[in-house]
Amino acid sequence: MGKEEDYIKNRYGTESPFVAPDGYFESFTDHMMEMLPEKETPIVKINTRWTRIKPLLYMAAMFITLFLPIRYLVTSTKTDNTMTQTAASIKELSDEDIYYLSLNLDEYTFYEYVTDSDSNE
Amino acid sequence: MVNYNEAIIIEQLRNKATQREAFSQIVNHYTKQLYQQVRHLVLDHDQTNDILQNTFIKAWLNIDYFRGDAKLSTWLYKIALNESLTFLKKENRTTSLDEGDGQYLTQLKSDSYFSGDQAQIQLQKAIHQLPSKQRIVFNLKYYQEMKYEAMSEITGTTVGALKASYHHAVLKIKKHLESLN
Repeated sequence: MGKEEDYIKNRYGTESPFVAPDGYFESFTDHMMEMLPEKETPIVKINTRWTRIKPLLYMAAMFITLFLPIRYLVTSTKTDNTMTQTAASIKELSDEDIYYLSLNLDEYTFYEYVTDSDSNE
Repeated sequence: MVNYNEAIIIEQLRNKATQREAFSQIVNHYTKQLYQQVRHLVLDHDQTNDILQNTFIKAWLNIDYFRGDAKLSTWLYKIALNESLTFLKKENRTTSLDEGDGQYLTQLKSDSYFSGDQAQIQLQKAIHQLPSKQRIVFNLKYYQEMKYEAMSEITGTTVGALKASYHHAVLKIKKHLESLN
């Protein structure tokens, strides 16, 4: 480093030209300590068996609460689909099909079919 | 005057009953050197006082997290320099001389807390043409003769980079001073 640094040091010295007001440093510590807030006593959480089990119970309760309605919704939708399928298949039967069906069905059952397909039209 | 023993102080900081007294010894021991570092950056005494107070308040609030694996001085310097840089950024005084530091430097002559002559004002102007982080390196080395290893811990910069930064800072300052003469 040498020459360049020496140039500055020889001309300007290394003493700081910045000064503080009289008595500033002497009174700073006392003033500073008065400004410091009191430290709060930390609250210690006691870890009992109950506090360890609680989260697991909450998770189980959440699972049950969500699972049961979803299961209900899924099973009730399936039944609706089955009934919709039966009505649709009857609607597709032509008059000829109905005639041939009638040959294999007793009178009561035959009329039941026809009545249902009419009401669906 | 109580003799300052850092090992004992760190031990006392861990005990709530002696923590406050230990911290007052820390304040007493480090105020002057921290004041100088901050003052060289921000120039104004009142602003320096504010930054210094903020530094010690932050240190107090986080004293329980001080692990003792670094020196107390390193830790305090880090807080002080971060507070200073945050202040300068807020005041838009982190880059060149013309952006905000100019008015403070021209006021140095009439500043009752500046004991230097015209030559010293020229030197301070030359130093303040440096970017703020390079100014920190220059001030720590030139005025406090801090070792590069200690500076490296404070700034988080490698020793090699610090040496290069100081070398360039000195060249820039010399060039600026020569141009005035």
